[in-house]
Amino acid sequence: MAILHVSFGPQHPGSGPMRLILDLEGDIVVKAVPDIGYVHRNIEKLGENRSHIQNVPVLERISNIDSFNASLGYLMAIEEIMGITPPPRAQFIRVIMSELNRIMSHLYGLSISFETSGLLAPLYWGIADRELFLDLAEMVTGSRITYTYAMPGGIREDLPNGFKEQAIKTFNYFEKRLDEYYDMIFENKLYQMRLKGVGVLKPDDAIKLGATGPTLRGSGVKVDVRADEPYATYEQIDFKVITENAGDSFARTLVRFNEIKESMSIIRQSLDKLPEGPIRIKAPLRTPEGEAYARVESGRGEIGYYVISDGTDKPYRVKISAPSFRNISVLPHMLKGAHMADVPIILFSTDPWPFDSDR
Amino acid sequence: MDLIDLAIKILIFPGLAFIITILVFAVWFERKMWARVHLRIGPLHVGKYAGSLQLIADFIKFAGKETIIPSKADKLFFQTTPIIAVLVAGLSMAVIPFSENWIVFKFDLGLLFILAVYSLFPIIILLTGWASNNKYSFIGALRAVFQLLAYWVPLGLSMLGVVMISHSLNLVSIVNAQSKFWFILVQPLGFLVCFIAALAESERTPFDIPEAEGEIIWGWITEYTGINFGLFMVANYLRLYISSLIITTLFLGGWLGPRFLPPIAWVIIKSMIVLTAIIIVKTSFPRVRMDQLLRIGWRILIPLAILNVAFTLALIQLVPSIVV
Amino acid sequence: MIRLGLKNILKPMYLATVHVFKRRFTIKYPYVALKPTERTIGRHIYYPDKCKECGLCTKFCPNQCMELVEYEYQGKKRKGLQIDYGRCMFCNICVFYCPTQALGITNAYEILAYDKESLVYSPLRLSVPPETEKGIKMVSVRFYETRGLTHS
Repeated sequence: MAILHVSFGPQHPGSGPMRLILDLEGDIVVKAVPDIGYVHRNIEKLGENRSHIQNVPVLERISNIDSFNASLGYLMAIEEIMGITPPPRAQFIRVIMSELNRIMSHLYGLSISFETSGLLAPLYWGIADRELFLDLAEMVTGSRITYTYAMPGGIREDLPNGFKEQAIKTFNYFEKRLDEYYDMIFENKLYQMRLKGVGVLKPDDAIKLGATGPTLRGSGVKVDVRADEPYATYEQIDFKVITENAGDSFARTLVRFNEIKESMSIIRQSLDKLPEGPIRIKAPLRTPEGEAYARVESGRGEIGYYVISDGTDKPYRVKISAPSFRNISVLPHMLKGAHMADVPIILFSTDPWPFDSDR
Repeated sequence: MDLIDLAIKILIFPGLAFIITILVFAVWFERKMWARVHLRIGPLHVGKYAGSLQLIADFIKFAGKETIIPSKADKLFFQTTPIIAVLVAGLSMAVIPFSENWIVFKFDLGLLFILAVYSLFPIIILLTGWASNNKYSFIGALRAVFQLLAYWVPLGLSMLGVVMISHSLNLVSIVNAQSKFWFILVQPLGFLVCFIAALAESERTPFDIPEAEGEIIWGWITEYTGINFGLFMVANYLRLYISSLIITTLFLGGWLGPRFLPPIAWVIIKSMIVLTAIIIVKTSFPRVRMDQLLRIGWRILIPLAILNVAFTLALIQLVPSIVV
Repeated sequence: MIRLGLKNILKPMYLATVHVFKRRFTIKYPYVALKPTERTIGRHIYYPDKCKECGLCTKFCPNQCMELVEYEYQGKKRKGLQIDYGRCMFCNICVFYCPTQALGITNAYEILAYDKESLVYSPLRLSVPPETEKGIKMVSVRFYETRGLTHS
């Protein structure tokens, strides 16, 4: 049969600012080639002209709905070069903000993925429920999405009064609301028909191709940076690493859905174990020479930071390893043999964030 | 006298003026209902009461925009298919009765006429998609043709049970035969098959894959801008409203009801209830994929419709007083 | 595919119908506005009495949106702070590093202009506290009961 070239392109309501070049034979996709680079902002070079405290708001913007995790990795690398450790109260509060960001990022990613399959109501419900968590973050830091809250040596301000009561009230409400979501979406017969068995990724292929985050854990591979190389008091909190075995789009979406509950339990434990003490120690203005690599688990996968410092207060090189870039390279393998109507469903089940992959 | 009567029926009720008014109300009702399910406010500012004249404002905006014609499109069909679509969609309004006398054209084969009009849509859609000279329109038009052909057969078969009980194809006598009990009580399976097939014929969720926004931007309407787009929207909503009117007439008793309201009001109320059910179905389910859709249409609905016919035959033999 | 479990088809429709009767979550801005918290980051406020003109805020800004310009204050010529709000990203590093706390943060998050030149705030304009608009009903966002989210 003849091959039709379709550009699932940058000017498209269903793809975001990235492009997929598809070869269709009838209704089946034969070859898919991703084409990225439409939102390249040169953030790695921008990081070389600014000092460490100035770099924090700039590097937060590589993934702005998940911004605390993005800045936390950089700060962990810098603190390793300087040789300082923040006090315990700062570490616990960093964990609280990091998990709060993970809930926000998962709610946003899940809402858009429901919209591509045709379910419009959970999109609006998810965005409305996310407002409660944005209010919590605004209570602590003053902004809703990008905070500049952490700095080398600790955090900027302490938690306000009334944060713990407001957080517990929100979590009690939201845990019941998650059951409603489960009944509406994951028990919906037509949604299961649409998502089960679509875009299957076997565990060996996932490891070989370099998938990360919920894309990897949806295929049954138990890999999580918070459990393998614990950073910032994750050893003192017990939590489960959530995996599913099926490897299709339904399993990946279900992994992200269940991680929200796990994050809420982590925040509850941290709020109970919060010690008293100072919230930051003094960091030197000039860093010694050295290099360090730090990994953080964000909502989409693992962000890696490699920082080289040459003795002044500005870094010599900042190299970022972005999770969406690694997940997009799994797409040509997953899209082979899928119907054309499945392309946005598979794409959004891996939670793409093109600002992340282009940096 | 005859001509004046016909003129009133065509232009005012149930003709042009009524169609425009009821469409403005139906689309406003639909948008407010969606907004309620999504926990937000729908149209708010236009009109004295909570945005009720929003559709007129939208139509004026469409009429004011520039119509862009692609250079390689087929000019004759590109410019005439919107008007043909609206005319054909409104054609079946001619045989739907709103009361004993308020019907534009008394026709003994009314039901067959409606089915014949439904079979014209695939041709119009194919012309529209082909004339646009665009990949996305082409894919959308092919999907729409497959879908409409597959669901036309169960639509016709589900109406067979009604015809067998009421012994006529004239819509007025079908409604008069429901004076003892409505046909939905005797034909639940037929009602279900007709409802699903009517949803698919009007291209509504969960069967709206020809205009799925995720992959093929707007399907077969992609290249149309300005007033052409507005006319296609009018044709789509008109198809939807006429489907709900047909279900009301065949299964829910038409204009029959208690005496405190005029018969015309009962038709409008019942069709609005069917429209509410269609809107609730839209907000709760995702889209069905193309091959799953064809599998439902050919392999599940046709056996169910034939089962319905067999059941009706048995019912007529056992309880002969059902037949009028 | 013939065995469609009825619970899987009817429960989503029931949940969608229940949401019709809940209170709506969106508010009718700009007739009603959201109430900010104490720490909400809005416009800066500048106290010229405390300013030492050291220039630390200018040096620490990541986007280079601040400048020390000459202006007249109480009859004397001195240098003051000029902020370009077209470039500011509200990160608050300048407030954090000011040694005399001459720079503060207010809650006014609505900064509107018709052209780009009027977004550059001169020192005199920065030292005037922002006015609260009268007549707009502020809605509290802190408690979800008043915003309408309940579970069924």
